[in-house]
This record gives sequence, structure tokens and C-alpha cells, in this order.
Amino acid sequence: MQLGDHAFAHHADDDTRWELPTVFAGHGLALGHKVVILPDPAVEHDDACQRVAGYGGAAEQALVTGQLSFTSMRELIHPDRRFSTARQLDRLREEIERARRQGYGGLRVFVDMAWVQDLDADVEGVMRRETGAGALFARRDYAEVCSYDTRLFTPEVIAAMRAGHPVVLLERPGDLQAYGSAKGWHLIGDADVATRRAFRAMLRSALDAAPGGRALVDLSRLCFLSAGCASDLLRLAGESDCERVVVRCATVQARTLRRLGADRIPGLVLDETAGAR
Amino acid sequence: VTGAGVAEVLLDREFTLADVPKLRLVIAGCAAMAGLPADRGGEFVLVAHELIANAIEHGGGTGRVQVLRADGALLCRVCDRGPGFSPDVVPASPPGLAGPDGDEAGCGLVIVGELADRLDIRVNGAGAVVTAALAIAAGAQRHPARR
Repeated sequence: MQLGDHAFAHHADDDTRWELPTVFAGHGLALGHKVVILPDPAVEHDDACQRVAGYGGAAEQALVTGQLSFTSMRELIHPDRRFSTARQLDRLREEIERARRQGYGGLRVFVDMAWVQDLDADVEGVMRRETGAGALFARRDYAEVCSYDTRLFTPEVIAAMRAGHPVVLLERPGDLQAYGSAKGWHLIGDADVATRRAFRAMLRSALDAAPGGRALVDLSRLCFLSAGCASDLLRLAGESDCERVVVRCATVQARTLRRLGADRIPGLVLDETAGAR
Repeated sequence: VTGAGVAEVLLDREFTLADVPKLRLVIAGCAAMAGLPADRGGEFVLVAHELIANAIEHGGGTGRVQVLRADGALLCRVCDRGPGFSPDVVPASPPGLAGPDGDEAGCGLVIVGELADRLDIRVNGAGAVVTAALAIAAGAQRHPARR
């Protein structure tokens, strides 16, 4: 997830609820961005801090320096008491400017949408805000995740919100998913020790289904590619009946594949047009 | 591998397979905080993942990971409860591709060996202790350098 992204996320239980903000905060801190978390207002502040920052690493120090902070929609729009799109967007613009003045590369905000009930906000108005906030992201110095508890919103609202966001996140950090298109197979998420078996199965499907012996495997939306998964990709590409296997990937992924011998696999082409992400 | 300097502990956690995605992000945060540039930070995360994966797959399924800053380097140390292994098993170059069901060819450790400036493999009473170190460039800026 990059600056400029406006993402939908959802959760259906209290364990999943905390995984995404924890990972979101860790990612933002690693990139030198300021991170603000708006947890469910029903959760005590200390509990939310412990859940997100208690894992250790940079988050504890970031809480001290202010690089990571917690607030609520109620605090954000203060002194207003009722939610309005205009007030919220103005306040977020102010926070973006403040983050930039403080020297951060950008601002990342995670919002648990339970605030909608807390402020008794009009769901239709919130939906309009979600679909009409594009200008906030245009300068690519701001990213936002809106996380919906499927126990609090109707399936219709969840479906509309999902459709209204330019980016949709996987339910759990660490998941791996694949989908096919006319161009080839696209993998999304994490290819690591936890998803390696699934990664191999997805690759086999991609290579078996390749039309005319030419396959495209798109890794450009993977957040992580482990050495084990990279090795599996090379082996399966080498064993397949495809005459040509194009692997679309980021530079860092290409580097791993080359270190493991990609140049020795006949018919394998690394397409690095996905760039450095 | 920590030399004579005092190590600053940035992370110290037990882990299982379920912790891997979250740990990677936390370790990336440590690398940024320590001042590794983005590319090198990504390589540090890959090194850490391979050591953690090695402990999960061959070292009893669980382990302990520490990220330390010492002597101008960022260190990742992983302790497991497996039988341990000798540095001789780490191939100097890609040994061929992994077998159908796993990482028999040691490709993870090849990557670790290539990316780390120093690699130390020991066996203690409980299992393997593997430490990889990546140098932090002099004058590197730490996050957060604000306010």
C-alpha cells in the first residue's frame, strides 16, 4: 500500500481487527511516514496502544516521538460535534500539512469505521465522503485505510464501500491470493514461508493454463517474495511445458530471482516494468 | 559478531508461523529506525525472513528473533530448538533449485550469505543460533528524525 492509496478493509472478529492496523503502522514507520490510528472508539486508549504498538520494534519509540499516534474521529473534528465531510477533509488536510512540516514523507491514517455509530453519522453521507475524497490523495502524500466491521454494517453497505474505494485490501495481512485475466495470472499478498504451499499450487495452475505455451505470472502486487517461493517459481518454470514464461515483477523481486539462478532457466523472462515498489 | 560494543536491542520476540507477516513489518520498522536505506532495509527483512523460515521449517517450528544494533551494524539473530547445523551446509552459490516439497537446496541461506556482511552460525544447548549482520553506513539518518 502506497501513499496516494485509499483502501477498503474489513474484519469480522476482534483478532483480525488488530492485525491490519499493526501491520499498517509497521509499514508506515518503516518508510518514515507519520502514522495516525483511529481505533474503535469503544476500545480504551491504552488497550489500543498495546494492541498496535505492544509488538515491539519501532512502534514503541514512534509513540514517544509522535511518529505514531492514536486519536478518534470525535477528537479529529473537535470542536464540531457532528460529522461533516467538509470538516473532516479540512482537518485531514491540516494533519497532512503538519506531518510534512515535521519532516515526514507523508501521512498514513487507519480508521476503524466503528466511529460512524459512535457519532451517529449518516451512513449515506459517509458513503458519499468515501467515494468523493479523491482530491485528498492526489498529491500522493496521504494514504488511508477504512476498516469496516462486518458485524456493524449491512452487507449492502459493505458491498458499496468495497466498490467505492480504489484499493481493496485482503482480509488478513499475510494472505496470498491469485486471479486470472486474459493476460495471465496475478498474485497478490505475501509469498513467504506461511503461504509457500499455496504459492506453488497457484503457480502450477498458472503454468498449466497458459495458452499457446506462453505464460505470464504477475508478481508485481506481491508485498513480499521469499527465497523459497522464488526458488519454487524457477523450478516450476523450468519444469513446465511452456516455451516462454514472463514473470512481471519489481526490481527487488527480480534481484532475488537472479540470485537464485533465473538466468539459467530457458524461456524465462523477467519483466521489471513494475519498477521498484 | 557483536564485537566489543554494547548491543542495543530493537526487537526481542518468540515466534511461530502465525507471527511471520507481522514480524516482517516490525523488522522493517527496526531497519528504518536504525538508518538502513530502503533497499538495504528490504534486504535485511529478506535475510530475517529466511532465518525465521529456517527455524520454522527445520528448527522445531518456533524460535526467538532479536534485532540488535551494535558496532555500526544491524543484526538479526534467530535461535531455534532444532538439531543445529554447520556453516558448511551454506552453499557459496545457488546450489540448484529446491525440491518439490521444500527448501532442501538451502536457497534461503544462500540469499542470507549473499546479502549479509557477516554471518555467524553456532549451536548451543537448545538449538541453532544464527546471526546475520548488515553494516549501517556512517552518518545514516535514523527515522524518526523529526520535531
